[in-house]
Amino acid sequence: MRWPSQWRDSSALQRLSNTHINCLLIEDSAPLRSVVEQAQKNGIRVIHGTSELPGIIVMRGVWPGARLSRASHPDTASSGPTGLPWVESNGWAVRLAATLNPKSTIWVDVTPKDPPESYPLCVADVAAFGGTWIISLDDQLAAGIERGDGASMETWKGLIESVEFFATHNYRSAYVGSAVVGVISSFSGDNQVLSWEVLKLLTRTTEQYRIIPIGSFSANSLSGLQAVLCPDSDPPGGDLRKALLDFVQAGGLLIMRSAWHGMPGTPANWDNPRYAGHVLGKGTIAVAKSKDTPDAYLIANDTVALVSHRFDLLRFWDAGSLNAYLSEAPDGKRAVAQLVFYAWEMNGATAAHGPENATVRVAGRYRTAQLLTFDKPPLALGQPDDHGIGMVVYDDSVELHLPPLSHYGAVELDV
Amino acid sequence: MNTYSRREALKTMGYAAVAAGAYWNAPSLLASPLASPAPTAPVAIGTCKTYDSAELLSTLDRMFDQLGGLKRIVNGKTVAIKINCTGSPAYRLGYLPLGDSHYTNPQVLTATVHLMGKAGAKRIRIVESPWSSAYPLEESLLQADWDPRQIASAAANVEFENTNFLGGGKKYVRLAVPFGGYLFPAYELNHSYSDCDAFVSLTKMKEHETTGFTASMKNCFGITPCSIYGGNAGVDEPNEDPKGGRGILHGGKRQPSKIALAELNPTSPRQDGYRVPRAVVDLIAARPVDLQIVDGVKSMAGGEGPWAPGVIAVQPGLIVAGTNPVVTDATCMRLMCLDPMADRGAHPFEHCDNMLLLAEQAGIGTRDSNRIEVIGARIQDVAFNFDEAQSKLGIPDRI
Repeated sequence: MRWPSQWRDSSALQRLSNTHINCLLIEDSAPLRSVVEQAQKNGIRVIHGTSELPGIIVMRGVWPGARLSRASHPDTASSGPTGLPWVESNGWAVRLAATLNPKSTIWVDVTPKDPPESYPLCVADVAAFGGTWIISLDDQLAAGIERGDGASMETWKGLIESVEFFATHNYRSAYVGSAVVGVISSFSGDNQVLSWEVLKLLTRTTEQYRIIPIGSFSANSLSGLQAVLCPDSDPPGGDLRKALLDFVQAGGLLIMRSAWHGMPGTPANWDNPRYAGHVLGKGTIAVAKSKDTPDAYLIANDTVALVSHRFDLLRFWDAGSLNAYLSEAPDGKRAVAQLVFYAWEMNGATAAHGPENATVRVAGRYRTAQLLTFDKPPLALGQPDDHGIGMVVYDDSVELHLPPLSHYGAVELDV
Repeated sequence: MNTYSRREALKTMGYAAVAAGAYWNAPSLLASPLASPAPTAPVAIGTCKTYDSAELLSTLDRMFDQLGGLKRIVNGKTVAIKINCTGSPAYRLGYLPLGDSHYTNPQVLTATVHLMGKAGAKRIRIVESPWSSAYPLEESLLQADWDPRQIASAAANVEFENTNFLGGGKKYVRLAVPFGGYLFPAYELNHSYSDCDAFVSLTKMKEHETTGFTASMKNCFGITPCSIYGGNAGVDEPNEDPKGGRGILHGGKRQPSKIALAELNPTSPRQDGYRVPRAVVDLIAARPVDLQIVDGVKSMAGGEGPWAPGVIAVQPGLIVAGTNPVVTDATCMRLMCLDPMADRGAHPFEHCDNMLLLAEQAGIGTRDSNRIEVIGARIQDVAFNFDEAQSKLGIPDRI
């Protein structure tokens, strides 16, 4: 937590007792010396800066939330290039940083917007994807807490509840991300801008993806995937090329920005405005027709369509603007779907909170489900109740009818 | 009823011509009063409490037989079935599947496809212009939780096409409005609407915020491509990545892409209650609807989609089929306890023109119950009052 500069009395540290806040980023100044000393006595780690922290990657983040711009009536034009609210989020970047630095902890440094929309949203936006937000309070909230204002204390309580949740539900250590698509890139140099943007926009589609840096590609990198996307300007070479062709031969879909010289396979009989198809073995290679710098939005959405919603691991209704991350236990018997909600919209109204009655379909043969949130007791989702809330079990999936949610929900599933 | 003799009788009466789409009286009837009454055709009403495939198949089979048999409409022909998938597939009414509220139910489509295959359809193309999408139609259906493979396997040569843009065609087709048109003299459409020998509107029985109610006629509003008539349509050329709704037809704040003919009267009211009913009538004249199937097994009252205020789920348990869209829709209105003879200002046309009246004046079909033969269930026995269903739940009237 970044210690508010106006909290100069060490007694303010009492607010951290019985919380999981265990490290303070605190200004190195004389007025705060007593705070530093007392914090260290309390067993709290104190740092004065975020550079060169062993085992920790600190990345600049964005304050999460949605820019609400959708039209009020479905028969009227939506504003914005996608017709959907633009969402600022950190999840994709946290995942990328964690993949590129597998032995490091990822901290996200972002200070509240003025006025901040939701502190628990910021906690969830980072933590659901495996990172930790360096808690930063806006000046007004810090002052309000200092005074003991009711509203400020309520905000503080909500923030602490969200931190506690992730401290006691460390899904990252027990679960592995599920994926339909693998994104293979160097994620650096000339490929950085496009590959990062593709990850950001692929996240918005709720397609579940795996980040595969070329430098750490291994035999297991493609296991379980339906498709692989290569957004880099140069086609993969060497052993990676061979592995990808084997993947296609076995039935996979390979989506490439650039073709190899002498494309393997035979031209596919399909009609796609932006991709040429090549059939190879049981699978297909889709190569972008245009040599121009591609639009990341189109790459992300074309990928989802090329792969097909038939393979959706998660599918949503009435969920508003959200990011979702499905992961499962190595034995495949348990899974957790983490849902981060940025905005909800219905009947022309938009609001910066979660949905009233979202439905999520999870692919898989699950039999029990439990919904966890920051502020309510766990809710077992059984036969739908009088309000329709519950779970419907199908042969190949379950449909979860969720109650009103604020910014975050985790659904734990068991087979 | 002896179905063989009915079929023969229909042929004798010339209804085969009606089924082939020539249901208007004269090329242009707007300048003068109707020379003869607007055509009529029989309407079949079936009751069906569930979407169980066996119940649907037997009900639809019987209804098609009552209309003279499906074979005379589809045998040896390419058939296009326009389904009704209004709004984003990511919207539900509560937790209900979309087909139980505002989308055509996929089981009704599957049963229809199956029966058309049995009746000898050469090719069946499922068409719709899904919300904000230029991706394959199957992808939108999957998002709605349909299974396109199940539908495709119900008959031979079943295919899907997204008609929101150029799709699989090389160019748009221009279909002229035979009576001259209320809004536009012709419409630029996806090739599927001219490729087909028989055109079917398979839709939902609902109320509608803009047009009062919706059934087979209003469903055809969705045959227009948003690439040309949508909010982000191109100015000079169609925008093959269409987003949003059909703002050009609704509010008319701008003209369609220049590939299309301009409006007949750009100074006409820019109100959707004026424009949408007229566009609907233009469209069902430009692309005649040979068969209408209206799914009222489960639906919603109060509006056409979950976004409409105060909507509730209802189960009228009805299916309606016919071969003249005006006649069929007039019958649907009676089944919904609405008056198809109502003028603008009267329920349910408080804020819009009565599209059935406009269609009748264009010589497409009659809405007069005295001239409509109803086969199967009697209206008075099975009618379902949509307004009453809403008020019983204590939800205030939307008007």
